[in-house]
Amino acid sequence: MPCEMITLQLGQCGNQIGFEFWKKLCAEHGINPEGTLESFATEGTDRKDVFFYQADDEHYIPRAVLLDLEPRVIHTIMNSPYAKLYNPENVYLSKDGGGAGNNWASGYSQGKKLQEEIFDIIDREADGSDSLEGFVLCHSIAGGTGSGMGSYLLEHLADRFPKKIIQTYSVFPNQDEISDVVVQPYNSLLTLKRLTLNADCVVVLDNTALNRIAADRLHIENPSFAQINSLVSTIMAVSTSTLRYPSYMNNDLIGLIAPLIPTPRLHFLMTGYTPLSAEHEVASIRKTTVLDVMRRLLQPKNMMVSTAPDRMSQHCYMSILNIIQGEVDPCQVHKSLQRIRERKLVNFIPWSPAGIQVALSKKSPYVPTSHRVSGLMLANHTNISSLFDRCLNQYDKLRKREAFLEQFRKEEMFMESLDELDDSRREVEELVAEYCAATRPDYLSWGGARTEEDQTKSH
Amino acid sequence: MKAFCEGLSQSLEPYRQDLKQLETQFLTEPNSTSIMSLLVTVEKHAPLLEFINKIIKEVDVKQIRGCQILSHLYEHTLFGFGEVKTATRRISLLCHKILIKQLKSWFFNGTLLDPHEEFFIRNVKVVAQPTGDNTNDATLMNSTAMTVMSMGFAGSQDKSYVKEYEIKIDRLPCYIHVRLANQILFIGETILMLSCDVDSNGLRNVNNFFEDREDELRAELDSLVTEEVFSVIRLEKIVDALKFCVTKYLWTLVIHRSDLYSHLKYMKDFFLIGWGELFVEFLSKTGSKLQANVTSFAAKNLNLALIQSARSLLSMDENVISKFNFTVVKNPNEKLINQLFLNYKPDWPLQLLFTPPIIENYNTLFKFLLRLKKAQLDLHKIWLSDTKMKKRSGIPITWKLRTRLMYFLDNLQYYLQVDVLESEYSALVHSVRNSVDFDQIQLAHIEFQANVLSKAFIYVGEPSSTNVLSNHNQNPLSITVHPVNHLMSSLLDMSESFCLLASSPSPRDHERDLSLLEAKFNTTISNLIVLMCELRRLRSRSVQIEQLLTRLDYNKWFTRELIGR
Repeated sequence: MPCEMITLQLGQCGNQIGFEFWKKLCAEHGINPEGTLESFATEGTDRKDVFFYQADDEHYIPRAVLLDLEPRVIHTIMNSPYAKLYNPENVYLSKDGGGAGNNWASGYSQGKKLQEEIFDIIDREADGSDSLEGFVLCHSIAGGTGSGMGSYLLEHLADRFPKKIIQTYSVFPNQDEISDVVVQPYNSLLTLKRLTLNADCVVVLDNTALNRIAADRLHIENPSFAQINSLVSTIMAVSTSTLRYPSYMNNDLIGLIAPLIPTPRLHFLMTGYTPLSAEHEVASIRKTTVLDVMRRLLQPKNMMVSTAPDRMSQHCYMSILNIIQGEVDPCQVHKSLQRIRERKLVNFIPWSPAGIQVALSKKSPYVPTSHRVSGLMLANHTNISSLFDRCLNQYDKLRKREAFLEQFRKEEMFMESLDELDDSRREVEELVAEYCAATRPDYLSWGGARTEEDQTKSH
Repeated sequence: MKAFCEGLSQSLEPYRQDLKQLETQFLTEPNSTSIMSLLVTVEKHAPLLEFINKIIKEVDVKQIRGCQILSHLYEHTLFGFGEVKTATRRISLLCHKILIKQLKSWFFNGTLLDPHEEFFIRNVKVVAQPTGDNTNDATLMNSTAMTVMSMGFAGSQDKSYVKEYEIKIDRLPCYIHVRLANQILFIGETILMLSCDVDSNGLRNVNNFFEDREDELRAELDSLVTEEVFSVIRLEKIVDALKFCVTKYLWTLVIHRSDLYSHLKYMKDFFLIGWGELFVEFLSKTGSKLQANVTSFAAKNLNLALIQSARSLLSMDENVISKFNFTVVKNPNEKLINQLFLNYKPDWPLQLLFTPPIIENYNTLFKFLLRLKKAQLDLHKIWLSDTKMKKRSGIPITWKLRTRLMYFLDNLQYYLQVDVLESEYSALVHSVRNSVDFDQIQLAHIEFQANVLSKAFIYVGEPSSTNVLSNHNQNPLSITVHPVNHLMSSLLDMSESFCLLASSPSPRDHERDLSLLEAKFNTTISNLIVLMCELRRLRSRSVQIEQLLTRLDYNKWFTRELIGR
C-alpha cells in the first residue's frame, strides 16, 4: 500500500486526541475496537492500509506510536475497549513515569535520553511499511512532553527521514482561561521554533477557538476534554479522507498540502468545519447546499483558530482547500465558487494567483450522519501570525520578569545561557514578519528579516 | 428474379384469357368472328405487352438484379395507368413477397436468405485493417462500428463468427430510405450477435428477443404483401417496433447482465484517471520512462507497472485490471507517453458501446490527463525538496515558478475533474438511469465523450447530439486541436523542463535558463488568459471558458497583471 502514514502521539494531549482519532477511523472503516473487520465492511474499497496495517486477514493495527512520560492517559487507553487495537510494542511509557512536569526543557532532555528506544520503535514501524509517505505528530505545544519531547523528535525525524513529510496536529493553549502551567509561554515559543524549522505542515488546533465553538455553537457550557477532542478528531478524520478513500485528486499527503503551502516556512494551516452538531443534540436536518457549506466555512465563527481582529484588513488567504463530503452535484461547485467571488467573501494574497480548491470526497458508509453535505476547510491565512504574536507577547511579559526560569536552568540546554530562548524568539518573530510580508504585493522579492550579510552567506 | 418472371406471366394472364376466349369463340363460331373484333380484343393488350417487353429488355440490358427490380417497377407504377399499372403492381407484389421473406429471415434469425445476392444487405469479407477510415462510398453508416462487432467476436475465441454486413446502396429500392435500411441492418446484426451469445448454461436464448411479439410482427410483415400497394410507412412502423424490441433487449442485457454502471465507472477510473491512487502509484513506478524514448520492452513494462500498482492497492478486482492493457507504437524517436495506447477489452455485448473510435477518444483524454498528473507529481517532488530548505531566507526564483506552475496545473486538474468529468459523468449516469432502450444509452455515452472532449478543449467544434452521431466514425485526429489546448500543452512542456532544471543537483547553475523559462511561462499563461477572454467575448463556448477562467483567475491576479502591463 503506497503513501502510508505513521502517527506519533505524544504526551497527555497528543494521546487523547490520537485516541479519539483512531476511534473515529475505526468507525469509518468498519473496524471494531479489537481491530477486527466488521462483517459488513469486508467489501469496502476504502484504503484502510494508509493508516492501518493488516496483521492477518481480519486484524487491522494502527500505524501508531504512543509515547508518554507519565502513565495516566496511556493507562486509560489500555483499559478501554480499544486496548487490543494497538500494537503493544508501539506503546512506550517512560519507566520512571514522573512526566515532564509541564516543562519543555525536561521533555526535551528526556527525549534525548530515551531517543534510542523511541527511534527503535519508529524505525521498526517505518521498515514495516511499503512506501512510507510521512509522519503525523499529535501533541500540545504548551505542556512538557508533547512540546519538549515533541520538539526533540521533530528535529531528529527531519534528520533521520529527510525525504518524508512531517505533518503535525498541534494544539495551542486556551487564551481565555488562566493556565495552571505557568511556563506555558516558554514551552509554546520553544516548540514553535521547531514547528517552523522542522515540520513541513502544521495544522493549528487552537483550544481557545475549540472551547468557544463548543460553547457558542454546540451549547456545551463546560466542554470536557473528550468533547473538544471529538471536534479535533473530526478535523483529523476529514482532512485525511481523500487519502483514505479512492478519489481522482489529493491521493497522497503531498498532493493535499503542497498546493496549500506556496513557500516552505508559511506552513501553518487553519481549519474550519461545518455543520457542527453535538452528539447529545438531535441535529436539525438542514437542507445544506455546497454554497451554504462553502460560505459558512469562510465565517470566522466556524474556524478552529481564534485570530486577532484584523483592523487594517490587510490579512488574506494564501490558499484554501475545501473538502466537501456528502451528496454533492459537481455542477454546484463552480456556481458556488462564482457566487463567493461575486460577493467578495474572500480576500486573497496580492502577489500570486490564488483560489479556492474544492475536493469532493467520499464519506464512510458505516457512520450515519444527519447532514446531507458537510465540509472541512484547510486554509493558509496570514492572520495566523496573530496567534504567534500572542505567544510572543506572553513570552515577553514573562521573560521581562525573568519569571520561572530556574526550572529551565536545571536542564542541560539552558545551564550556560538562555540563548535558546532568545533564538526561538527571533525565529518566531521572523515567522510573523514573513506572514506580514506575505500580505504585500512584493512578497516574492522579500529578502527576509535577516541582514544582508546573512543572506550573502547563505548563498 | 423468379418472382419477377412469375409476376410477368401473371400479368399476361388476362391477355392469355382473352386469347383463349377468342380461340374458343373462333372454334365454335368460325364465321361470326370478324377480323375487327379479333383486333379489338387483342389490341387492348398491346400497351401491356409492349410495356412488358420493355421492362424485360431493360432488366436484361441494364442487368437489373434483385431488389433493383423493385425500384424499377416502382418507377413504372408511378407513371403507368390502367392495365399496365395493375400489372406492375402484381409483379411488385410478388417481388415484395420475396423481400418480406428475406426480411423475416434477417430479422428473426439474423440470416441472409439470398443465394443470388438480390437483397440490399450483403455479407462482406472482413477487411484486414478493421479501423480503416476510408469507408467505401457505397457502404454508408457504421462500417467501422460493425467491424468492431465482428472484432468483438474474434476477440472472444468461442465465437468464431467473423462476418460483417453492409448495405448495398445500389440494390436498395429507391422508396426505402437509407435510414430505414440502416435500421434494418442494425436489427439483423444485433440479432445475429445476440444469437452468438451462449449464456452460462450453454443455452441459446435467442427466442425471447421479441418477447411475445414475434408472431404478431411476422403477421404484420405478411400483411404488407396482401395489400395492393406496398406501404413503406407500414414497413417503417414495423421496423421501428422491431428495433424497439431489439434495443430494449440490449438495454436489459447491458444494464442488468453486463452491469453497465460498473463499466462506465471503469472508463472513468482508468481512462479518465478517476482512480487517482492507481495512477500516482503507476507514475511513480514508471518514473522518468514515460518521458524517455520508446524502448522495445516499453509495453511490457507499462503493463507490469499497471498490474503491480493495482495489486499494491489491494482493493481491486484482478478481473477488472485484466481488461486493460497497454500497447505501444514502436517508434524509438518518440517519447513513450505519446506512443502508448490503453486498450480495453469490453465484456460482451458492451463492445457496441465501447467501440474502437470511442476507445481512441478515451485514449486522447487519457494521455492528456496522464501527462497532467505526471507533471503534478513531478512538481510535488520539487516542492518536497524546497520545503525541506526552510532555513534559507528570501524567496528563490524556483519557488516562485514552482508555485505558479503548480497553481496552474492544480486548477486545470480541478476544472477537468470536477467541472468537466464529474459533472458530465453524473449527467451520463442520470441519462442512463432514465433511458429505456439501448439507443439512448449509446447516445448518452457518445454525448458524454463529446462534451468531455470539447470541454477539455481538446477539439474544436461544438458538440451536439446530432452531429456527434453522424460524425462519430470520424478519425478524431483529423480534427483541429483547440488553441487553448495547444497553450496548455506548451505549459505542460514548460513544467517538464522546469522539473528537470530544478531537480538538477545544482539548480543555481541554471538560473539563466530558469529566468528564461519564467519569462516564457509568463508570456504563455497571459496568452492563454487573453485567448480565453477573447473567446468569452465572442460568446462561443462561453460556459467552459468561464469555468476555467474562474478557477485560474479566481483572485483576478492574471487580469490585474495584464492591465498593469
